Amino acid sequence: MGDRWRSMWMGTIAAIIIAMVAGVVMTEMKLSSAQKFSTASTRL
Amino acid sequence: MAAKIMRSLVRLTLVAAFLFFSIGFVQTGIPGLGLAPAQAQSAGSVPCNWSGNISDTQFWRAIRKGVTGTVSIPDRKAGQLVQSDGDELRAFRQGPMSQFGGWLLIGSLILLGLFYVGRGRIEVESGLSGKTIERFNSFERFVHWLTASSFVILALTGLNMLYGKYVIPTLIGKEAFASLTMFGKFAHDWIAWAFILGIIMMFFSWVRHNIPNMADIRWLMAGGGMFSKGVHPPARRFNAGQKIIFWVVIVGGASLSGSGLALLFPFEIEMFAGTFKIINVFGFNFPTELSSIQETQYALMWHGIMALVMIAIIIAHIYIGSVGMEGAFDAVGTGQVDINWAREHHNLWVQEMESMDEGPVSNRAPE
Ligand code: HEM
Repeated sequence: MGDRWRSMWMGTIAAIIIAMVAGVVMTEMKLSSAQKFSTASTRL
Repeated sequence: MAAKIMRSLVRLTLVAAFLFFSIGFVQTGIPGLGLAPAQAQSAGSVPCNWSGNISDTQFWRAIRKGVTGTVSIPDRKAGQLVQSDGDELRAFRQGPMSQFGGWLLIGSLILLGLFYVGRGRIEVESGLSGKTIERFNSFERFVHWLTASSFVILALTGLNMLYGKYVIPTLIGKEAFASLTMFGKFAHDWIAWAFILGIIMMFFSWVRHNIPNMADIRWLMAGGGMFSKGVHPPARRFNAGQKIIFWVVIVGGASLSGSGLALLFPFEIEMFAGTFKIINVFGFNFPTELSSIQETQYALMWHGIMALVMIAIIIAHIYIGSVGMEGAFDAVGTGQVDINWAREHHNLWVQEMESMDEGPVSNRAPE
């Protein structure tokens, strides 16, 4: 039984780790929505 | 004497009031009579001609309808005071999109239920032999589950964004729903990267087995053998049905990823005007000049539509890969499928493996 679900857990744990890394990177980029939508934005 | 003074005062106020209101009527027109103010807006111009030949109403109507002026600050989108496409988008999302999406999902569950009642679980007709053959190696299984787990989380958090508000607050209260949705929104944004990686890896692992061929047409003509017992149209590693799932996941997944990235980085990643230009080559008439906000609105709309269609299709995939078919789950579970299952569903693939293999195809003794 353990064997049957092992691949599933491996994939799920990897997905969560990738999500955590992505979360840290995206938070570090510090693009708050206030900045993204600001009228001072020069990005067009 | 006093009475005389009072009468004069009342007369005076009446005259003043009459004069005052008659000026008012000249300015605004007399209500109910349809008499247009003569001097105020003759030929569409307002008094003193301060805004040229345009009346106030015309002026504000144009602003309300989203006319874009010029501004000298860097952010040119500030030149548009009122952009109300968002209103229409919301009406579409909460109206037809939610409704059709809901019926699509419920409909696919009902169809699967009917299929289960009519056909039952598709069994291995020659019985399980206990001997197995490796169907997917550990890398392929890992890639499958990386994609599948992230898709399921994306689907749940995404459906919560569209439908959650109708159901969940009544169950757990508004505050808990707000926290849940905020957490879910972050989970959705971050887990998306795992899904993107998953479909890229899945594409490279399986694309060479998913090129359509003549056997696929025969498989489809026989309905995949899914609707009647004892029918097993020949198939190689993936049958036509699986190839359809593969391409839906790759093309649909890429489209979901693209529109999702456009939503993660609004005003930076914009793709709809360019896409519309290409589509218009085939005689369509989509707008090719889009403001940044319109780009984001199209991305949101398309992302939702694609997601609902994909979820409906994947529900069917999950059904056939688990309860719907005996012996299928092992392919992505242990990777070892029963040789009889393989012969029934992928006979040409088993033959290829046998002709390639020096030894016996089965590598696990009966338990
Ligand atoms: C969560 C429950 C899921 C289960 C139980 C499941 C089960 C399976 C099984 C048993 C196979 C192998 C079929 C065979 O050996 O011939 C398979 C293949 C595959 N799965 Fe899944 N799957 C799930 C979710 C997903 C999701 C969410 C996606 C993509 C978004 C996905 C994409 C694929 C693809 C592209 C294939 C190869 C083509 C095919 O066999 O249809 N799966 N899955």
